[in-house]
Amino acid sequence: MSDKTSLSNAEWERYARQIGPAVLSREGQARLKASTVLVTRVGGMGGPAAQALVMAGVGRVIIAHGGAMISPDLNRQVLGSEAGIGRLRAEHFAERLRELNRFVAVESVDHEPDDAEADALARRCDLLISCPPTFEERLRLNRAAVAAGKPLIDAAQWGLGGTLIVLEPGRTACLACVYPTEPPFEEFFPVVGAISSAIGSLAALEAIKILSGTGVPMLGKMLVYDGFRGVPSVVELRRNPNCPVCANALDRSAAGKGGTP
Amino acid sequence: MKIRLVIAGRGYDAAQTPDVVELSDGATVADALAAAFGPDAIGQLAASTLVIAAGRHLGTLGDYENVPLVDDAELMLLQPVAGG
Repeated sequence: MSDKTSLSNAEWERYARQIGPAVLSREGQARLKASTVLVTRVGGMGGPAAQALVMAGVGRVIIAHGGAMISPDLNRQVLGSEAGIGRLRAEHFAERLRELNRFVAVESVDHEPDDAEADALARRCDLLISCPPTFEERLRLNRAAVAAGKPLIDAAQWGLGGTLIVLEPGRTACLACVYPTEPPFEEFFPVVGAISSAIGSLAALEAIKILSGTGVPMLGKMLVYDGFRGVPSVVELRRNPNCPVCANALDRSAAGKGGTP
Repeated sequence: MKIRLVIAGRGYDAAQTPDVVELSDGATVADALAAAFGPDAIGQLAASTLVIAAGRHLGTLGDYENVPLVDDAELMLLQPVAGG
């Protein structure tokens, strides 16, 4: 078994198809291994995101998701299974993730983190992926990410469409700049699993780019995929200079202290 | 001039708004909203709806930068989505 930053021959063999020109460098792959990502929750979007991160070789993936699996989850929650109905989601999903890659550590949290736990998890992570059904949770993760100075990727879905926002505290808008008041909660939202997986996979792709130093992350932008019309749009997000969450956040990337390479 | 109006996010399929709004030159976002929704857009969409013109985020329906629009610009109103 290799240490936190060096990869074994078996690991290089595992990741051979994603190392090379226009994909990851060997140094980028090593940075992935040294990284920790929090994904909450791990359903329609967070599940595919966590799956892609584990398969790509992020060293530690922490998943948080409360409750037990129910049948309606299975139209989109790719880490679920018929056999998993009635089981705790976090435990079941973690088992499925561990089956994918023995070189990755998977931790599970079987509930939605409160303020203190979100802060503690954010400090342990290099990046957060936010996929909850409520804006209360999303804005909590945003506050934790800003306080810890860690990038946040917010993935959202509804019906046939979705949005993806990539944020870096102090450098871009934060989620509270975009949603200064909490939008309404819709418990039984409609969604087709295909869009959940697409948005979740793109969230993972942006995370892999940021953590490995590959490509150009879509920092400060929101991808809107209007699946009803089949039209993608990219929106430049404006930062609120008076934002109560991020107005005083430091640009750690400029100071050379950031969690991003 | 003509502005393309797109309702995205929650409830896009239920939106009863025109796809194109005709406005006089120099019209602003507020003029476009008034033409499409009448005097009370917030009464029909949530105040947290994002206002996006030509790919630029202008704020929410409750508080947005009222910029001038240009011919053939897209005005998107994105009702925030979450999911899970």
